[in-house]
Amino acid sequence: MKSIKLKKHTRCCCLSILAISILSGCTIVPVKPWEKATLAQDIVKFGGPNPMMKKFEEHIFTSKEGSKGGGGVSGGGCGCN
Amino acid sequence: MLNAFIKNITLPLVLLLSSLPTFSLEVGDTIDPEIAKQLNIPAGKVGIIDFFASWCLSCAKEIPELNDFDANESTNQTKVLGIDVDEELEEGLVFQRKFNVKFAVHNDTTQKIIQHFDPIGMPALFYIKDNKVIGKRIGAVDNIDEKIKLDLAKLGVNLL
Repeated sequence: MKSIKLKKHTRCCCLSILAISILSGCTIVPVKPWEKATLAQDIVKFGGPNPMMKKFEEHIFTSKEGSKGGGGVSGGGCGCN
Repeated sequence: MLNAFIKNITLPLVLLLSSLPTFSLEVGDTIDPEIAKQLNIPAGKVGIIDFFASWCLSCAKEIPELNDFDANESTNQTKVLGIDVDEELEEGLVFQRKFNVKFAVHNDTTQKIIQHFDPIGMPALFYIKDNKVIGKRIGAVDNIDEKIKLDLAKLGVNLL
């Protein structure tokens, strides 16, 4: 069987493209603002649908992280107007 | 020579192309003819396009204000059009009934229209005229009806 010989730089090129193609699968595609229907469900938020658990988990988050908010998906100041 | 050039340019080019961000429609941009056909804003009229969804709390807050604007302030120079971007049609319809949406609504279940406008937040309000974007407001805005009146005045549109 006749082997296919590629020049060194062509091989490099092919490997680079292959590596980038594979690695691009690891990139994070940001969720668009209109695609947040699932993220807006109570079950996805702090504490799930239980308001007591929500309050409890938010309290822990605030204490541990020194920050609060960011538990919802809609609204928020984008500062763009 | 050419091979060396290709070798040097391939990696940066691929990285550059893969990292290019998408841009939302800006003031002055022309709307795709197919999308414009769906919006159906008559020539010469200012289309006030409001993107909303049932899960978006800020959108729900703006609906009554838009209803008021459409009922009391909208003239033959303007047309309010809501674009409901809910993927589930029934969820969108229930939301529209719940908030008694009185202006015309297009149910964008495939989300093609909003993908074309590509706003960076919800709710999103675009002003369009003759298939061109002439203004926009993105995100939650208090008293949106008053803001619309101010925007239209700046755009030279006479209200009642």
